[in-house]
Amino acid sequence: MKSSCASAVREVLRRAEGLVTPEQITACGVVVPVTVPEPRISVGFAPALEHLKGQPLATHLSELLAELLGHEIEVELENDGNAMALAEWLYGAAQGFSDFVVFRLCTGVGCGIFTKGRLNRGSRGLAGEVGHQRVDPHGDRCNCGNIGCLETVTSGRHLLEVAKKRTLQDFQSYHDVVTAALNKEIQLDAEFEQIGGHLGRTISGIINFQDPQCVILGGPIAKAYPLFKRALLAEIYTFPGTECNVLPSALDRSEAIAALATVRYYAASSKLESELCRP
Amino acid sequence: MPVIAAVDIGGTDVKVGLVKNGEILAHDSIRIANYSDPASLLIDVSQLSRQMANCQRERIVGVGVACAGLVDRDAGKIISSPNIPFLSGFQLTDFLAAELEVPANLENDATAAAMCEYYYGGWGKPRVLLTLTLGTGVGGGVVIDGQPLRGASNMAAEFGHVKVPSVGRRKCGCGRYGCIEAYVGRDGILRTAKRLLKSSAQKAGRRDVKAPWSDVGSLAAAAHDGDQVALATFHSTGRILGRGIATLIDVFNPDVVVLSGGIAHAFPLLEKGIQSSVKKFCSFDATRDVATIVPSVRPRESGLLGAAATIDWSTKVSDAEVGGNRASTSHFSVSGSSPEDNALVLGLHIGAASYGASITRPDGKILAHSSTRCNATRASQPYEEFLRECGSRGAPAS
Repeated sequence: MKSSCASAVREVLRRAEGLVTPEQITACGVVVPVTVPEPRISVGFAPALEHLKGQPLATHLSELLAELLGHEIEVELENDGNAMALAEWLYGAAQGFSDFVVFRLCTGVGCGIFTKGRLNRGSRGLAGEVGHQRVDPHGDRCNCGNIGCLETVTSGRHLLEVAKKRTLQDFQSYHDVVTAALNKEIQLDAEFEQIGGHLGRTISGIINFQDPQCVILGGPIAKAYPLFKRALLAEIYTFPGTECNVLPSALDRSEAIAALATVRYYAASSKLESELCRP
Repeated sequence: MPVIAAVDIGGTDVKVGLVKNGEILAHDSIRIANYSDPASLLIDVSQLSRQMANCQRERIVGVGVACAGLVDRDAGKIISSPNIPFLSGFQLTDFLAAELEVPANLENDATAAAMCEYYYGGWGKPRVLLTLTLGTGVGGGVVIDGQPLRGASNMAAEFGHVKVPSVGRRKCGCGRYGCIEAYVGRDGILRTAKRLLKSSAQKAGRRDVKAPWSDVGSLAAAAHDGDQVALATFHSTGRILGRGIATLIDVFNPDVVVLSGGIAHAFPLLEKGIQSSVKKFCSFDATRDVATIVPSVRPRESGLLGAAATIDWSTKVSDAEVGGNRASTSHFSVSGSSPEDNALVLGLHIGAASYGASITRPDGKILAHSSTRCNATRASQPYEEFLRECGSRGAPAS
């Protein structure tokens, strides 16, 4: 089946039939692994989804959705790591926290940073792009063009490749690799140890930079946290009394929650701004 | 803006603080030795919290009290308080509620610490959360689906007196043998250290050696410096604690076990021992694997935050402000779930290897979702085809 945004929306509307009418839908959150510069209408860099680069995705999607739903709705576009941080803040493990960092370990590595109670997007929406931080100068080439990015050694893409090589099994996706490893059907101890080590060093740096209250690991690879927890924690040193917990995310279907959180966060945000600007 | 006055009645002083959204805005303490009757102590406590609220320009909406000893939460009464005899039998919540003209709640300190971890610990929304408070003694608390477990006579979760038979026959303060407190409590750890020091000295042929440490803090410092006896002490303590935790995991099937209290600072030294015992003694993989054993993130604040959590728990103040943001300059917050269920959000997730769509309610409930995995990288897919299938109309004009 050819998949597209339109078909995905049609499918979910079909599944919600009887439960939900299109009129009830008032907003749409779009979660994408690309950078999203302000005002969050167009896509910036998109190493994983080249065809989206520079496209005014929010505009196109709002036109498409107006057609599919029969009425116009607000579209909020956000990078997946940032959206994940909003989801953890509003619905997940970071409720009540003002400073924390969320990693999204999936096909690539996304990250969202919360500072003093606000999402830190950086000056051009690039904050938290740790997936493209170089960790191995002699490593493989990343799809961003650089060499030895964190993504090349910790992502789902990498895990799938090494699992195929190591076990000589033809896995379809890294989800299957994670499941098999957790069920102890395959042995990937050294590989997970390496993933944990790289992530641990990166997280350790972020802890020193940001002084977060906690670090949350989300995304499908985080399900394998028990397999690389020891190696990851071994890399983290904090001053006595300033411990920073690394927690696996407890959110189920985190993408849906991330989209919801994005919509709610920016709705509240624009309300606040209009209140502040009121004479 | 509403805040909760939190009162933590300890052995030597009463801590008073203002808590807002799980954050302590201000705190101070009162020395108990200066008082001889409950009324004058509590009048000063109320006055202090009012002053703090005025300074912070906040309005107190409730007062939560955490107290060591046996308390009757429903009656709002301290049944017996070994440290402060004059409080025994005192009707505390009515008094404070009348003084501050807001609702008051009373809770045992260990239960309050467990509620602090549940609501403000940052552990997500666990089903079952256990806390073990490691200090002079070993206390405990259980929170199940947000509800604290108190027991038929308000004595639930005395984890210090879980028996670990066959480790040895050390007598506990409660008069019985084999309680983990006799090994994991402050004195128990020092006793283990002395025993190990003696036996290592005997092995080395020396007869009498003086222990170079006086308390658990200096013992931990010695362990960090690589002292073998100190390291072995913490390992052995961790193993005994792990046996106790294994029993608790079998009984409660918790998702989070939090270690708090002063000795929890030595968690890195205890962890290996704890994990090896839990691995060995836990009966079911399924319960063992879901239980995360962690040190508390906010061990020093658990008294005040726990006291505040008793109010949050009963009035669900937290519902008013999801997320509880504290950007003090802007007072930014995302308001609570919208009351009307018909304001739904469509979620679109576009990944490198998958497409997904969902419909969610503002409270986080997912009404419907669908996702498709694409195994090939789609970088070559034309943008128009990414938006909608070819064959229908072309891409919208940009």
